[in-house]
Amino acid sequence: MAEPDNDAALLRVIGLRTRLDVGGATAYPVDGVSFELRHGQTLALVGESGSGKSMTALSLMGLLPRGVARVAAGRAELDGRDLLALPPKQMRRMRGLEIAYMPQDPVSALNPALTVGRQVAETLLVHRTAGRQQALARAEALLRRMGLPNLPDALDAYPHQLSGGMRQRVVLAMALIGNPKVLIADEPTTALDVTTQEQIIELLLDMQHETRLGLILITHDMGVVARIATDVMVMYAGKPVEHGTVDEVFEAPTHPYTRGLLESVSFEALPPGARLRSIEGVPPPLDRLPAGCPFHPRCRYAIPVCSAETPDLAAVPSSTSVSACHVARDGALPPFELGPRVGGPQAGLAGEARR
Amino acid sequence: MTEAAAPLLELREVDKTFTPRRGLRNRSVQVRAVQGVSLALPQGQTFGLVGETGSGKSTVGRLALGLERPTRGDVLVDGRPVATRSRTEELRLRRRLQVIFQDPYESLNPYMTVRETLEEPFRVHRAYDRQRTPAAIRELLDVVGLSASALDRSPQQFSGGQQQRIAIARALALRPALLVADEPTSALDVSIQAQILNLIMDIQREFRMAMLLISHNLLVVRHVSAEVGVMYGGRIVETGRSEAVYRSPLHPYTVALLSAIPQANPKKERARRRVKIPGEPPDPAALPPGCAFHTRCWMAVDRCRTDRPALRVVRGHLVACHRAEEVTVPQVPAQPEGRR
Repeated sequence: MAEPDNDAALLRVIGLRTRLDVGGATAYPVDGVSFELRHGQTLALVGESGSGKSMTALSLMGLLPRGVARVAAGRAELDGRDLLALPPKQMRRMRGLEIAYMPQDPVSALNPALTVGRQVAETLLVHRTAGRQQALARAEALLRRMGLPNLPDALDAYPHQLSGGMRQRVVLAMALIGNPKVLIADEPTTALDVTTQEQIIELLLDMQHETRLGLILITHDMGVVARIATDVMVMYAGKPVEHGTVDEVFEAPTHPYTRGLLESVSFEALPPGARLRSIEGVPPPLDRLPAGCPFHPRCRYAIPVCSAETPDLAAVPSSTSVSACHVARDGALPPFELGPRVGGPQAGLAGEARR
Repeated sequence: MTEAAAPLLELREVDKTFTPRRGLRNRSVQVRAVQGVSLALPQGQTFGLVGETGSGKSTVGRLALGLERPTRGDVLVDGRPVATRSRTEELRLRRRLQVIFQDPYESLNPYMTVRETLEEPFRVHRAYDRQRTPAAIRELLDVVGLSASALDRSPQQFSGGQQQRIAIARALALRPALLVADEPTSALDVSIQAQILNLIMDIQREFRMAMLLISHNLLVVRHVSAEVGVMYGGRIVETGRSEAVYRSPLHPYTVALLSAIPQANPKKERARRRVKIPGEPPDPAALPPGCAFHTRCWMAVDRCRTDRPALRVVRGHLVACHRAEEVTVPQVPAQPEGRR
């Protein structure tokens, strides 16, 4: 987190808060997100559906659904310019050339009526950074780098003629052709088969290594996080609840929600057939958050103060991570261990899932 | 497998070929979804089918349920072919075979309350009893961890995990002998996935059901099922005890599949040697000749391109690879320093 050389930050987000108004209800799907991203760094935004990961991305890109959601507070400095305060025209210039977004679903990200070459070249054409021939030549070179077969013929292919893995390569090329400094990749491998996922991950890492891209990776897959991230921010109900280096967060998670996420996928640590350690209950609706810590109704470590006061991210004894947890701040969380809980495998029917 | 008792579910050399009409000229294409699949599932046991898109795993599930008729081979329940049964017998059979799908939202009728949803199996099978059924439904809700207050609400009012609980309750209503679970947790968040997997494991033990678990997630399958079959290009290419297949995979595809799953441990991930395989799973309408995996396999020799390997026993489990005895993990170095 707090690097001694703060000036090296490529993107600095401070106190981002996004307001959502739907059907008379108001909610804050992003509430108090701050982080710094340096060249070549990969920050994973982790959390479950509705935790605010994608809304954070859309807020930074200036792509929030108009009339429904808007940035209520915060700054996002990229090269000294505040993305959140830029007039739309200037922000448009930034998108694709300075900061790019790779959306979740490659099918809806691609225009079915345009050829692959045209769509990859579009950023250069729209921003008039290259002429038509030159833009297509650069698209071809980049797609070649992405491992798309049958070039240059594939430039004239339509998205439906490509497999899921190939479409994802095209979407990645679209995001990278403008040479952005920051790439936000929203669940870039979630829809892919594992062997294809591995190919796309390799490609992302190679491209990042070549261009020193700052990468913001949005995912719910803790395996993918462990594979590629350098830093992790865990989000819950719109709020960051833990932030630290990937090693620290995975080895000694300081927020009970992070622990729950890791335990939920800890197949390796358990004997086959043993009950998995799950998090009880479901995330709260954003317009009706519980008082205090939003996680306290599901938290097995909760103490009285948790239902009264909302904890802020704060330093935790003997950890380099910051955590929004009263119990962790007091140093009262037990050491983290994966493995069967006492009485786990024999626990009764439906057990802890019951509510 | 013992000769004494017939397994609850058995597939014998089953093929399923679809012939969809494609394009303006009705050119027929043969989609070989499933080929030569055999498996036996004794009562109360779990068998896991693992594979990627187009591997044929869901078609095997549909064949087991009698929703598809095999093109060749037999599907047997209680030792008798499903195909030869009369209409009444078929209905009786359906009571014993139930299914849950990936997307509970799609599989629950939005116009029915939870009560109606859970009553339906009793009504369809003429098992509705004014006294006993309401009590049975309350018990079902209790088993899946929902309260009775859910009864008069509609499925949309529930979260994905709760909807899957409703779908599970409906599947359990008539105490089936076999549950086919097709990607039951793939649409759910990880914390909810763990809850639903726990529930599935609990009810499977409690109800002594057999279960065919279909998933792309090898870790989930290994955890839940004692036996596993790995599918590729419509065929089971490796099968045996989950632990054995997981600890010492013998088919290069299984090796690659295991190696591609990132684990939630950054230090291990950095140190790990990975298998890189090119390309993507084959299109079942255009399967390569010989071993379907040869186009992506680092061990492929001429023979693999022409002769399809049959399943045979190697080191205690079944594998369909000419070179299973010499399977190696290709030496792809761990991630180079600094590239992270």
